[in-house]
Amino acid sequence: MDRDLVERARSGDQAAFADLVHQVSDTLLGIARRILRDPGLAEDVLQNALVTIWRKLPHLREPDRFEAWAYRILVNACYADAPHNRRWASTVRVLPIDRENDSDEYQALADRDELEQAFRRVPLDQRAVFVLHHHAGLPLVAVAEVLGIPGGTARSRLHYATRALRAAFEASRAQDHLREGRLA
Amino acid sequence: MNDDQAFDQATRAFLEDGPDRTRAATIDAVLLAVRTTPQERDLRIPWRTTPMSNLMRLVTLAVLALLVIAVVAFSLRPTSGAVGGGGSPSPSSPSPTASPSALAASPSAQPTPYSIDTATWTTYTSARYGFSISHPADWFVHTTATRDWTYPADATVDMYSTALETFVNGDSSIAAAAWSVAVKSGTTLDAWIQAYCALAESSVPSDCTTMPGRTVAASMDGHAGSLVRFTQDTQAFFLVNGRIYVVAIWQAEDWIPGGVSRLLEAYLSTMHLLPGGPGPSGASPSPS
Repeated sequence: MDRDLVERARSGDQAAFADLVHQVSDTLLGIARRILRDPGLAEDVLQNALVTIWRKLPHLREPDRFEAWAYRILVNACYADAPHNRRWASTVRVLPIDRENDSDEYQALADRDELEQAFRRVPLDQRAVFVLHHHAGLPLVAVAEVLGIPGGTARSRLHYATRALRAAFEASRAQDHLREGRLA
Repeated sequence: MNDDQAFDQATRAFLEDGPDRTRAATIDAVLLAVRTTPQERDLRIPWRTTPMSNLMRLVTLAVLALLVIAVVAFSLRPTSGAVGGGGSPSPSSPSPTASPSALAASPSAQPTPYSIDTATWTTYTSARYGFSISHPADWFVHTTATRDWTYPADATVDMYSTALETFVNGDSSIAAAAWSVAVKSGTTLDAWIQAYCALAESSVPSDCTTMPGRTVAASMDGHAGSLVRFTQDTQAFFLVNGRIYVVAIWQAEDWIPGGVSRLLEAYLSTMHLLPGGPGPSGASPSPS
């Protein structure tokens, strides 16, 4: 991230902030979308988070840490907006049943669907750790710092999110074995 | 492809699913809002607006020194505080000869705004390690030890080892675990803790070098031991009849009101060693 750009935006330069927004918005949207599992809501949250970032920029002590600081504001915006979300259950994908061909593709779709449903049941704070670690690529120490939580907490949240996904994945594979048994 | 690889691949695919391109309309809306949204003022006050003279520096140092002396004198005044109570914690290394009665760890013995009532806790018995311990009723048993804890192999694994009896609270933000291991004759508690600290995954290097300052005396079922506040967790250690007993809470000290060590003390106040000791599988000697 361009330190000078951050410094100028922090001083109230709206053009510099516009450049910053273009640089970070896709990354932030990706994180919000994966935590919230709702593209529309993620766009709303991103919008709120970016305006908050603008408002609070003068408080940013270290311009070099802008991204981590922005992640934190975004995740907090996710926490704040998610309880009002009533659309989560409406976007669960319906799978075709008993497709005999392209079984690999079917399996991948089934896996993804199981993971999706499992991830929606995972608490937001665990999702945030999982997404920041596995999608944004932050080490757990950095995740803990971004979220303002102890390292042990980040580790346990990651553990529980991973455990939920693994259970869903194993369930998906077990169903697939049953399906193969029926087709055989 | 094995299960782990398949899981990793499926998780990656799941995470990468979908576009991440922000719509132009979203960005336009943000920039429009920015035009009419003032930034918050940063109310930081500059450290110093004028240079400080040498005389002022000396006066400031003298005042600070007096303040430090006053604070130290105040904190060293005689108190009857027990472990984790409102009095100053003893920074000295653990004393196995300390009187258990002086180390009454039960929070109910010394009421504070954060005292913990263990009366409603659920008792859990570890036949493997030969103790009973209670956990808050709204916590759950996360892991029941299915094998013996061994040193040094298990000192490097995390809180979800299958060699631990682990309890987790409702939102999974805090975990407590207990286990035990036999040690060689002549092993001292301090030496064992130091060796364990050097290996423990949750430790940071400075934890081990600064351990005396992080250690206070603790008590469990009438046995004296040490409670160490590591950077990321707090653990209590006891050496009883050739076995080390460990109770750990994996969370930083300031994670809960009153401190994690107070919660750990509450756990310790409920812990009792079973008359028969550990079960047959738990009695196997460890290398240390």
